[in-house]
Amino acid sequence: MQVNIHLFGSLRDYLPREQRGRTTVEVETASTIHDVLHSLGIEKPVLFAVNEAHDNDSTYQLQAGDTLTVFELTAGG
Amino acid sequence: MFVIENNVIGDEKMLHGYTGNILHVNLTTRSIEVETPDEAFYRDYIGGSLMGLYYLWKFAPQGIDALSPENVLTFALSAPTGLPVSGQSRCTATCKSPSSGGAADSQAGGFWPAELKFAGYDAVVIRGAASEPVYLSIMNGEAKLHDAAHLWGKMTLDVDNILKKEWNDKKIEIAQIGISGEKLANFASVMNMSNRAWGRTGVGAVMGSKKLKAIVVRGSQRVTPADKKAVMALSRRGPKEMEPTGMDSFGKYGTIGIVTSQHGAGGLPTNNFNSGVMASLEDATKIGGERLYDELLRGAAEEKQDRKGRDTCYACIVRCKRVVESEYNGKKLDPDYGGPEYESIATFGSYCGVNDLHAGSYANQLCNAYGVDTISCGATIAWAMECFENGLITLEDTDGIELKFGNAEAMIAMLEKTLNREGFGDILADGSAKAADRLGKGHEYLITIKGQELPAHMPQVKRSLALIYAVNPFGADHQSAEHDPAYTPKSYDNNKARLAPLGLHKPQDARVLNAEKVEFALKTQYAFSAADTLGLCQFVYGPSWQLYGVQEMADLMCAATGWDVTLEAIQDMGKKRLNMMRAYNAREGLQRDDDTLPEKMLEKALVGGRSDGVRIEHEEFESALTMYFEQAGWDVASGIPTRATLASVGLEWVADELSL
Repeated sequence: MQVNIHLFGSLRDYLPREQRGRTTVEVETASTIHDVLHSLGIEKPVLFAVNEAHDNDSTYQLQAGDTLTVFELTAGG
Repeated sequence: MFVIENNVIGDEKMLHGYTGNILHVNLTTRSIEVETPDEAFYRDYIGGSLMGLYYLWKFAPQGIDALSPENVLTFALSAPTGLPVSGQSRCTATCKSPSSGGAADSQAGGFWPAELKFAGYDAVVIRGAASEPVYLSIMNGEAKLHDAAHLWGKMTLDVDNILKKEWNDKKIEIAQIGISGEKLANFASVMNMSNRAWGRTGVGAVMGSKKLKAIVVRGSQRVTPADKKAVMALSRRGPKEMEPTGMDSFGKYGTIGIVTSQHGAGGLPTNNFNSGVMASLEDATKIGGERLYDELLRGAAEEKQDRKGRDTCYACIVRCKRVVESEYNGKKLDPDYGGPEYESIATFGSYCGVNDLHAGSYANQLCNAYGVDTISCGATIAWAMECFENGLITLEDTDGIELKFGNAEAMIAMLEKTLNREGFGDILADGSAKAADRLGKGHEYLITIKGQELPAHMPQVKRSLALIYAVNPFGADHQSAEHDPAYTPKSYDNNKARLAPLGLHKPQDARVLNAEKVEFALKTQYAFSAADTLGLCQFVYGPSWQLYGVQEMADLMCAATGWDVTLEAIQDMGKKRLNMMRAYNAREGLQRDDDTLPEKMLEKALVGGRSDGVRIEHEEFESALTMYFEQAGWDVASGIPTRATLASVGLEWVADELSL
């Protein structure tokens, strides 16, 4: 199945520059958020949302067409 | 205690790091004198904010009007200023605040701070007021006052260009007020480079009340540290720490890079703090740092924005300053006015419900051109929008401007009126708290503490900030303590490793405000307070995620001065500044009753996103306040430092003067 990925801040560097943090990837059915982050090489703690909903943990199984949004953890600035 | 000689700089340097010279300018009498304090003075008052507070206490009589000639405005550096290491070119402006009636305190970076040191001074203390506009030049030790009638009423960039032409030197550095400072707007800033601001607490209004248009500096002296090798070793560590600390990303996207993550966390103040998220992630993305980097930074079209679209401060490798080159509604966005910080795009973006990055950048440019604090100014317009939405003010009041959330053109139109003090803008020019008083309504929509509008980090979702915003002596401030996400179980390991030597070993959830979190707030407040004493940038030096930690602050002071400075000594310096500021406020009549939160934060829950339904509980806040006073060594009933606490940081004389 396909899921949409939207990475922000320095996480955009996990994708080629021209993609500007956005891509669609093919993943196995029942893949979790953790699986997808791992496949992208993102191992550090991050903040994420699925379809702009924030009540999922990293074991949530993504559905075809979902958009996974991933933010860095930031403190001040 | 010290000797003042008439405008002569001593030949012999008795101190390392410092010049040993303090410049005193009395604008009423037009006298210029040089003080050469002994080493004991520098050990006691270090620099920056603490040194400025000393002169404020000594020279400004109790109970003065902040805009009277009796106010004392100090620009102070410290020992590291001007050394070849990142994050040291910062200067603190200190005076009595027209917003709070207590201490005013604001920092700016750029090249002006280092250049003042090179010109031969550790601080400039301004007293009195000129009868006509003047500017001060400090050129290689020689200070003079000049007529400034030809500069009065001009935009900051125009003044920069005129002065550089007059001095035939493009490398002079200029600190100046804009038109808003001349017009005594309560949130007027002092600008340097036309894009770096001493923005908060109304220091520009105080400088304007003295009819001092600018301070021009240039010098060729260099700072002589006690241990040059140690300074260079610290400097060489910087590039190696950029990637592990995440400061490479911070430099690439700037402070505005956190807009989207703030939205994701439910902590992006929207519609005057009624929500922690914009209407959609797309809206937040439209005003985010990623888009600014991709589209608006100079050089973006040719993907050369990292070289052309990022600026820096003296000797700093982080290069976090934005340089925007674009346009808004046919008006040029001039790269010389820089680009928006996170705070600026939040106040002229999400606060106003506006998702227009070009409009926000233009608002930032106008604020820099007129010289006002983007935070207080943008937040004041957001407050007026909420009043308009709720019918407290009408089109008749706003001179026909449809001042609704989301209306970018209305936001810009009202900003222009505010900057020129025209029509309804004249009411807004003194900030939202005074505007509410003048109108006799709208107090329930205020987001101010001690008369100062809240910056763009939400205390509802970073709960220890609720405490810091309330107790901070110069009003709500986001750069006075570390933020909660640095101290959670999920925080990055390097953040936690830096906090551990401060005695902070038990990370808590970001929305908890318990005893451990109060300790986190106070101890990191000391660290931030020390940075403002040492003249260090709080993005480069700090207690958790910054390029360098508190230990490196101590190492830098050892290298600069040759003194034996430990991590504990750094914390004590921060404690001393905080207590002196708090004591000054007590002298001027501020007490625990002033340590409050805006009513709406205690009464209303946030709407939408990850922070939907969240609000600060009154009991939790009051309990934390009491714990904070106990831990700080301040009287719980009054919030005033006790004699024992003042004595513990060498301020017995302050306790004497307060009759404690």
